[in-house]
Amino acid sequence: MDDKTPILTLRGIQKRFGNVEALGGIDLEVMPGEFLTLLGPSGCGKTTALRVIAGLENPDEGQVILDGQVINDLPPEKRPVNTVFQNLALFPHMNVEKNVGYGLRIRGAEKKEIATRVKEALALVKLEGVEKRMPDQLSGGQKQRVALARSLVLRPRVLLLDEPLSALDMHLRRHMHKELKRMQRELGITFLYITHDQEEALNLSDRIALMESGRFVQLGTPKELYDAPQSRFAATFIGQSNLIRGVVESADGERAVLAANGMKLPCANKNGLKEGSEAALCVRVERLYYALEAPDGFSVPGMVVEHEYAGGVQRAVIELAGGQRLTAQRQAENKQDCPVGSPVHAWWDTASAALVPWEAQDEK
Amino acid sequence: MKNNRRVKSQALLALPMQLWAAVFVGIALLYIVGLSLLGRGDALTVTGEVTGESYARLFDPKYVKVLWLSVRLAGLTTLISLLLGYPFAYFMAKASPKARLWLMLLIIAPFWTNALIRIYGWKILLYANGPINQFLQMLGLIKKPLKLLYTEGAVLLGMVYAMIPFVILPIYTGMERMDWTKVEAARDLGASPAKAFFTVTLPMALPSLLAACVLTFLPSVGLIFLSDILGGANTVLWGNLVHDELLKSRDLPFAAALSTVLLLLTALVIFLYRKAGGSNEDMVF
Repeated sequence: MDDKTPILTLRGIQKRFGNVEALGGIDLEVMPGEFLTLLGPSGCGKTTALRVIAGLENPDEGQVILDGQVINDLPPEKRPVNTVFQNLALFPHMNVEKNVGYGLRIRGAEKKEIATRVKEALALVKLEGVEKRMPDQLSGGQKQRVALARSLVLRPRVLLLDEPLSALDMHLRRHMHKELKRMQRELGITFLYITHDQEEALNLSDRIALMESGRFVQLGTPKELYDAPQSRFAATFIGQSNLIRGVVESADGERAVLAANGMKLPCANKNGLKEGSEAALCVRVERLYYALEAPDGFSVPGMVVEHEYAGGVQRAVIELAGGQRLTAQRQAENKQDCPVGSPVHAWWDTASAALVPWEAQDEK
Repeated sequence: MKNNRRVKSQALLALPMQLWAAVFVGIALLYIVGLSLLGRGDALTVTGEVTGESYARLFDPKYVKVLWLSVRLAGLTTLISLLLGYPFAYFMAKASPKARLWLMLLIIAPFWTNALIRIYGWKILLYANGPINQFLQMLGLIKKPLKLLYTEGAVLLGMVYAMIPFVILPIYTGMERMDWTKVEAARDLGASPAKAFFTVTLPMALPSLLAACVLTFLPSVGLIFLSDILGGANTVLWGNLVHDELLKSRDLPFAAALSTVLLLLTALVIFLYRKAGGSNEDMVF
């Protein structure tokens, strides 16, 4: 198949529950073999989007297109997509083998074929030797693998994963990230993954669709989202950022100067903001540098007001002349000591710090 | 060690309850079993001699027939209540919270009046010149009034009417607790609604179905006034036998023997329930 043809397309999907708008018209193209993540805070509509694709929810408007066919009218059992549910939804009255073989049995596959494919699926998720156990006799990680195997055994065109790792502890989750990537590579199946965890999204995805209040706010590779956020929401939801609010004093092509708290800050203007518009400069904490002496070129003076060691990194809060506070994070092996009260100079790469519009936003 | 102490303190806390059960249930039951093994005296008394006479009388075909009828009617009651109650409980669990409240009221409201009065209500409805017959005659569906009252069918109707809440409530509770995403998962994996029902919904509901069966079957076997009022002399059930032996024939040991049979039947049903994997938890609603 041509790599340029999307395997799954959403066109203008809208969904309301009573007075609540869950999806406000979303468009998406998922490419074959891609690992695409819908990232957003809880309640942003990402689970609803997944349920619409699975056929568990009917959209009010819009089309779901799989392999060029509109599948809006197909019931869930007729759609060649499978879901790994957030609570896993293993069948408690069936053992591991029966759970994994369920979809094949329902389709009336031959006993021999079921046995072989269940075995393959369990090998793929590295879960052998527990075939006869019941779900309540398994650990969290094992249940996870059973749920994955149960869906993967059917070789879906797209595998939908609804925060499947949320019940696992951090350590196991990191491990499962690697495992998921491995399985996806081995099978070449398209994964559509849902999470509210930005770190997870950055780790796993080929592309991320960032969602807010039932809409996509930015779609791109993890690097694009991290380096070039297009909105205040994107800048704050992904990674840790300092936002410096001000007004665009001059804009000239890719460059602009932001006037903020009496400072004039040169910056990149990738979002094409106009002169006089309200904006915020987004400086990532690990890309804000500080030292006792001023560097060549751009810097702003300030004072260290807080300082903490956090294992491999150290964090400092620097108050600038106008009262703005910025957080900076650097490797702990950094030699120069800047204790609280030190007058320092802070700077960042003016070509990489992103300028985002300061649009009205619900304050949380 | 700590665990052990906890077990001990729990046992201590349960002690009053167990004492209560021992005195008011255990001793009373032993008393009945004891009575059933004694000889019959005048009126409601017993003689000191130990005899199996009362039990020997149980094998009279007359009593065997009554036992069979009682078990059969209780079984039918359970089956019909299940078939009617399951869909009701299903729709109740799926209904909106407001509709659910009204449906719950429909089940609970009859309990606000005396059961005897409600059964007399049925009796009036079923009379030869009662509303049902009159209505059918008015429609011209029948020429002569049907004999509705004093039939096995009337007793069955009354029993289903009396027992159906005990089917609906445990099944409803089971469905409330059920995780419906498992049914969605079944659909997602390729099951049609019907297949998902038979492979996931129903097997998952099995514990509450079993509990409902026990809760319906056991009281049904021992019902007395229902068969008296709606079945008349035609439908004598085991409970009626106990009642008649005690209050009419005044045969204390034989009445006790009849009761013991009911006791054993109950024990057997609960044994089977446990054997099938049922637990006390599912009986709570």
